[in-house]
Amino acid sequence: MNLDFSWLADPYYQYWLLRGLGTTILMSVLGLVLMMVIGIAGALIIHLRVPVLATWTTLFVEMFRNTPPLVQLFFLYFMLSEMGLTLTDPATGQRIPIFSGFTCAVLSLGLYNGALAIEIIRSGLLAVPLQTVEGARSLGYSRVQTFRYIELPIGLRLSMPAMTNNVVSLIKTSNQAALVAVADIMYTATQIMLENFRNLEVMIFVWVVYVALSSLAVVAMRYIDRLIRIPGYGAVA
Amino acid sequence: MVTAVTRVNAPKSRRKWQLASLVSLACAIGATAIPAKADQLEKVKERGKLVVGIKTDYPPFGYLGADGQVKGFEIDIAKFVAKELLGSADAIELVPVVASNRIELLNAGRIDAIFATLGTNPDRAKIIDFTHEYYQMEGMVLLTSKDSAITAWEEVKGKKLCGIQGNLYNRTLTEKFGAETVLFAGTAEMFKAFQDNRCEGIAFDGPILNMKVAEDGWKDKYKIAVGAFAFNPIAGGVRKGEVAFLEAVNKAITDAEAKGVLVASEKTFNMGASEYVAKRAEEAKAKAN
Repeated sequence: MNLDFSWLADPYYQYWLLRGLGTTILMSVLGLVLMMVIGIAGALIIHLRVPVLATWTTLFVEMFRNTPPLVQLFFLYFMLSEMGLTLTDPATGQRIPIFSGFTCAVLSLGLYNGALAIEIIRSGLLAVPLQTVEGARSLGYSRVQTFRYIELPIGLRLSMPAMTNNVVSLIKTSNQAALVAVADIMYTATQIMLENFRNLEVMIFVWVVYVALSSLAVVAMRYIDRLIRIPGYGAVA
Repeated sequence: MVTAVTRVNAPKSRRKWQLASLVSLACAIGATAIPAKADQLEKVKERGKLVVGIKTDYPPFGYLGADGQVKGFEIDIAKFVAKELLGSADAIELVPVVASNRIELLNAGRIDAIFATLGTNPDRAKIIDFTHEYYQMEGMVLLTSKDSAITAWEEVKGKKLCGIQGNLYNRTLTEKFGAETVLFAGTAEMFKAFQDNRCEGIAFDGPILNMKVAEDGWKDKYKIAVGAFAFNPIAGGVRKGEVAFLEAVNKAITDAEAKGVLVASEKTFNMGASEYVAKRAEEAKAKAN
């Protein structure tokens, strides 16, 4: 089995791959930010049992967690314009879709992993000992204050391992953007494969890239975990 | 060495199991690298079925008819080859492929032959073997809306053009003409994205775009703005080094031409009677007699 990686020296291919890598990283970062915002907001709404919003949020979680992220992406990319969500392009006067391919990909990642994040953070919040919460309430903290100063900090720390899973899942799911013509690393690697037919070598390269990206994310999460650990609290991992 | 690959803190008995599992995993990976050697033609005859990769989204070469059956110009050729090799036109398994995976599937052994609008070029010839060419396909044409101002390939500079991944001309579009390509895996996504105005035009093969622009709903809104700058022959594809199999398939294709199968297919699928196919039929008939 002789592997030929000489195509990596081609400057044209290098430009493509670097551009793809940049797009993947940017998509992942933006998706992560959106995911955390949705996760914390949703967990807050459901945990505090806000009257109407809690039902809507639960519906949102069920809808976006129980459908494949690819279906959600295709819906955003192909179906929204069908439903009338279009803008009028000032230059040509034509009706163009409201979201570009990149935006659709980031949105689908944020919504799908955000729904998962809501459940993960909620699991962390439910793991906060009841006595701690009761102690806070008896000291005079209101429900929102208890959430903000006691439950959320402890809950986030308790849900770190599951959240690491979610972060890695987001980075890996980002490769579905290649199916809506977003030039991420998967898309550019496919282009290269179709030109030089070195399928095995290109796929090994993509595999290495994703392992490296995910490992970086895991190392970052472990570092954050160690940084924010409450000394002496809970089981020592 | 043993301590390097197993967890240092595990007790000795556990380390032995860890080492054994690592070694067996390495053996499994190594075993998959050993290729199996057997003649393709014999394998196909033994199996009793020819597995062919075909297009199912590309009228008139291979598409899903209204009755749910796969039909097309290339399906007719493939069925004739199966009949010659195995005695029956039904001893065939049609596997849907797209441009971005057909060569991969062939080299991985999942299909025996490609009959899926495979254009010939020297880069591909290094990886697979081509059969006799059987059709001259019109090259890349540009489909735009009726009120588009583009009249020549040079005018697409900086514009977004939809296309299919793996098409021969994509690189020419970006390098020579400076267009920005928005590429998809299948034709359905490509047409939908174009209708959503995600790109200014579709740059894809002539036959399928010509058929599309004659369809209801398309003919009054879109037109072919720029014609092809080259014609490209298409052929079947087989794995490299399968001499007996290639010979058998080539003979079957020539027999199909001599018997007028391709000329008849052209008529069935409204492809227009091309000179190329008629000429090849004549030559094949002359050689057979």
